[in-house]
Amino acid sequence: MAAVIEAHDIVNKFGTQVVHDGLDLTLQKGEILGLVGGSGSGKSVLLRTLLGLHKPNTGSVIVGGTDVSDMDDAQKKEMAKKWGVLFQDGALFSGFNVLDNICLPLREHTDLADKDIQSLALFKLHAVGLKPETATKKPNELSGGMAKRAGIARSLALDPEILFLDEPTAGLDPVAAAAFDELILQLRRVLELSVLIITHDLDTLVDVCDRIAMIVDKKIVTGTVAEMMKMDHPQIKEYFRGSRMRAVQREPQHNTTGAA
Amino acid sequence: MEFLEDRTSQSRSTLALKGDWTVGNAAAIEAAVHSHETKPTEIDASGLGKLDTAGAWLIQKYFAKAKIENMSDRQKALMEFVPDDQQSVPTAKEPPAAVAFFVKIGKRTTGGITFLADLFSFMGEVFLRVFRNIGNPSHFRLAAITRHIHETGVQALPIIGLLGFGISMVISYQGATQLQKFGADIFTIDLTVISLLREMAVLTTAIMFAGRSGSAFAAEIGVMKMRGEIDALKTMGLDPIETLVVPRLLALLVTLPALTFFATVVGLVGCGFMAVLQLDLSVHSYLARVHEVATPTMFFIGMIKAPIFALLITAICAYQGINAQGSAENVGKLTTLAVVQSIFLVIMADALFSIIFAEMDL
Repeated sequence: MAAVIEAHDIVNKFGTQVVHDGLDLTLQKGEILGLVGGSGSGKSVLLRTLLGLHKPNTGSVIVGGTDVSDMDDAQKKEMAKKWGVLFQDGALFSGFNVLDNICLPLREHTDLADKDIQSLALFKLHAVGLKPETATKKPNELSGGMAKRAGIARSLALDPEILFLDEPTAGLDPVAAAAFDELILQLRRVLELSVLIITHDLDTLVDVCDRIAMIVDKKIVTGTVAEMMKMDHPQIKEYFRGSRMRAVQREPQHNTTGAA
Repeated sequence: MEFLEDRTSQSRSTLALKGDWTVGNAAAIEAAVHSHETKPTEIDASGLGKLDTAGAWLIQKYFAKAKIENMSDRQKALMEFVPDDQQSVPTAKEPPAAVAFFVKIGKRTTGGITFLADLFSFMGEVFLRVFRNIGNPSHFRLAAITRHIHETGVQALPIIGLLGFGISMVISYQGATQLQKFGADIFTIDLTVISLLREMAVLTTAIMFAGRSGSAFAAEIGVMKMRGEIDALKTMGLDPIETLVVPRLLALLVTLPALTFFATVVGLVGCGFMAVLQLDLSVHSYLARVHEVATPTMFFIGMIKAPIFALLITAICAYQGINAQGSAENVGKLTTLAVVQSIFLVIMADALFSIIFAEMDL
């Protein structure tokens, strides 16, 4: 397996507060990696660092073999086509309807006729399980789950290789959250995506993720759920052996799909 | 790059797919497909490179009826992912343009009437709160009122002063250049003082006020509404109009007249500045002329409008804020709307005042 995105020796400081201190993270091709950590442990900062939205104090992010900080503008634009991001609240453009939100990256990066772009966007909408009627709705008319699905449809517009999901199931009811987990697995299976999920949803961690990366003591500890549960670090123990985790584990639902 | 190869033999028509069928190549693939007129019955995918959803969608779009051979399992899975029928955007039926035009006029008219009715009932609600608490002044939030007086009044002094000074200089200058032709220079002072006292001071202050403080009111209250803070107030048993609107109204009823007075005084200084520079008058004779021209009636005609304008501005801006709907992008729209509406109504009210005062021979 090859790494699609690698972070080496990342140090992030805000004033005197050190968030990441020599952190390493690797996302392998075709895997679903769950990024966890307590509130304020720097998950969002790490995501922003990986996406190049935040420049780390030291360390490097390597995408497709090239250091992001060495890239020129054209390379950065190419890189933006390689990944799709679902932001926490969808971050759909409020001035556009759902269809135009999905069309935007296609209009920007391809030379297709507008009719074809719309039709392709409708296919993406269908792929994430939304009805064609949703296409003409404005983002503020959508429910939380629909907005997240529309957000995924937009992030998939350019057929990315890597998908970043920031708390995709937060605020969804259990049924919608389970359907969303299923959608992530299906998309990975069909599109051969590599997925990084930031989540607090223990069901997602157990059912969907191949590996877990936890931010502990400003560094990353990785392992499968089973491995994480055996670790002795007090913070990891607290997270993976708490009463909520035990409740999830009682009904074993093993991830049968595995990495592609 | 080649994407298609015609391998049609006598017995069957076959197209071979080549290269990467990806979203980046989609436009070129479209062109390639259109250049092959033949409708193939068979597709050979053995030479196919990368395939993504856009490529699968193109294959489905053009070769749905053909038999596809030599696809890898993953590519087959991807093909199954594409829906069989091409969907189209549902469009709502729109009435013909002529009808739509009248429908729009009708909607705007009823919308305007409802808005005015709503605005007056909102003002009524605000007054109700004011009168209900008039017996026990401790219910008025003194801290909030002083904060608003500071923000809308004290902090606005420099800009309002500058504006009053500038406006009176412009009027004096324009007046002087015209009146000098008739040798009636001295009437420049009459012109400036009268228009300043009766109209310009209060009007410019009110307009600046709507832009500066009214927009802030609308945005502050609008954001609170959208973030659910207004509902939070209600669940705690606090009345949003009493907590948010009444203090702002009371503060504005103090600051707008005060600022109008300030603008008038600074305006008179500005006029004097022009009189000394342009008309070669001494300070003493300028003041004597002002004393002759200005009457208390004139001063009060200007000042009486200030609280009315303050009421209009607060009512409209707070009304727009409290009735905010939708997402954050609407804050910009509602703020613009609040400012435009309040300036419009201020000028309408001013016109009404002019008619009333004319009828009263003032």
